[in-house]
Amino acid sequence: MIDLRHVGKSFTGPQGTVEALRDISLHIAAGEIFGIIGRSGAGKSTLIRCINLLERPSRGQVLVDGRDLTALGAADLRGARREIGMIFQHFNLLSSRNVFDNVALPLQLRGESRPAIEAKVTPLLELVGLADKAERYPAELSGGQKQRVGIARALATGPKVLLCDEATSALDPETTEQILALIKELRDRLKLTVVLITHEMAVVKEIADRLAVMEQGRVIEQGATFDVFTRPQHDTTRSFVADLIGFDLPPMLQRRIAADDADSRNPGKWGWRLLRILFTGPHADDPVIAELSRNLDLDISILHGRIDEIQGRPFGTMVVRLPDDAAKVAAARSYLAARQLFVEELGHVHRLDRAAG
Amino acid sequence: MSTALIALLVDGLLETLAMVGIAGGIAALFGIPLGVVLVLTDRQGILQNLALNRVLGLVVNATRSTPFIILMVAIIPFTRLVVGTSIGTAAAIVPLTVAAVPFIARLVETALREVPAGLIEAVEAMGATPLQIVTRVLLPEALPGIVAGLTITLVSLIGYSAMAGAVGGGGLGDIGIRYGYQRFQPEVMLAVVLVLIVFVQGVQSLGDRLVRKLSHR
Repeated sequence: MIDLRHVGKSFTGPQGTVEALRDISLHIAAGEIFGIIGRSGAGKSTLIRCINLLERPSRGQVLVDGRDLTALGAADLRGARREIGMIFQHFNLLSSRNVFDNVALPLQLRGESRPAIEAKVTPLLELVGLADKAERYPAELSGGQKQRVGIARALATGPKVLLCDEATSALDPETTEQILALIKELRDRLKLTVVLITHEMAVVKEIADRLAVMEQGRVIEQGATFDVFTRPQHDTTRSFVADLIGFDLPPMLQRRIAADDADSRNPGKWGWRLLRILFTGPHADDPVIAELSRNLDLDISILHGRIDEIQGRPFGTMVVRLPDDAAKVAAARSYLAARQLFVEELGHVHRLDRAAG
Repeated sequence: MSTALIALLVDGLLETLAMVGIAGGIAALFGIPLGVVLVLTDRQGILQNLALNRVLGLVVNATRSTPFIILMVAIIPFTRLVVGTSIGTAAAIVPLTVAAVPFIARLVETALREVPAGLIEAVEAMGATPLQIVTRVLLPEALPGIVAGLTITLVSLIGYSAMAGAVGGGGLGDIGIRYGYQRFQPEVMLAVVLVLIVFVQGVQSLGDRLVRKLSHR
């Protein structure tokens, strides 16, 4: 549905030229919710604005529904934009118009008649749950209600694509969840293609089918949300998902690993080995720790762990401590590998009494 | 208070009303579009045209820096061209209008700049034309500010109109100077000032009430 081909954007200011986007190519399929995540300044805002050409890319092509927007003249571009809805962080509703007239605005811009407008706006307000607020002005609404108006307005012209520019960043967590649920429901019902940018990993985790991670104007990683969350390849991605899925070790444990790695020239003082097990796939629910312990005669301690659900699939991480016995560790690893559980060796730690001393 | 004085004041008030009302109305017709053009053509404006913007800005500033009494005399040839005479109430309306246009333009410009850029971006994303952006978003959203600006303009015009006596324009200010100052009739002066205070107060309250009614922020 959306094809970005080698899109680049540079801004020239008094401080010289800034490369906001560098050679970005993305393909977003019809009907999917695609998340773009990055820290502020990563270029995600510029990127989403390039999709409807609010920002004209300096290089590359933007194809929406097979049409190259970068090749269109001003009038054709206005026509194409009417097929792309957009919602914003600060809602951008007209304070001089009530809810009904805000939603009616894009239809008025298209020159539709009053009866045609009423026939479209009323069901839309019902769809977003604001039928009773039609006569209210934006100043009288809560943030969540304002964003609902924004969504209804964006959908008024029946677009195939909905762009969400930090659409939940100004909302509290509970309202964020409601708005995300609404977006997801609308995607299913109206077969929308949704692109959303955010700096909140929790948002993409909640609804994105696929996601791209941006840093310094580049896409550094992309893939299915579950895969990116469970197997982040890039350090930035890893730090993004760390909080949400428990990649971060408790500080005490981190210090012990760091101290003992420096001590590795001093073998023979074996203590323990730390492994991180990622629970994904068909055997994520298996009682593997109990089986390991029983079948391999291993003394396993669980040091840290977290079980979660991403896109409805179970996912967990667990840091376990095993005795530093090469044969047993190898056996444990092959046992886990056979169950398609991903294992990562974090390092050695000595017994607590030594480390403390 | 003698009936003669009352008749005099009523005549003066009507002349002032005519001068301020007509000048304000015509000035709004020119000043509001001028303010819109100043915003549209400025840097980052939707129809950026810096050369035009600079020229218009210069003309606006030049007009605004000329003291009204000098402006009135300086444009007498233009006044004669427009209304056929340089003396009387009609002749006073021309310089009042010329002075009010750039004043309104700047106030409208300020009001339009208060409209959040995000709103303009939102309607651009809907495929609005520049004309639609102006008529559907900029002007309606800035309307309370524009009305407040027009109120300030009217009050200023009431002050300027006192100088219209210099070209025989009449009005309350003219009466105050001729009777109160030149003929040593302080009670006329006092009466004129009182009427002006009530008049200005009325205009301002009306303007404020309208702004409150229009504003939904």
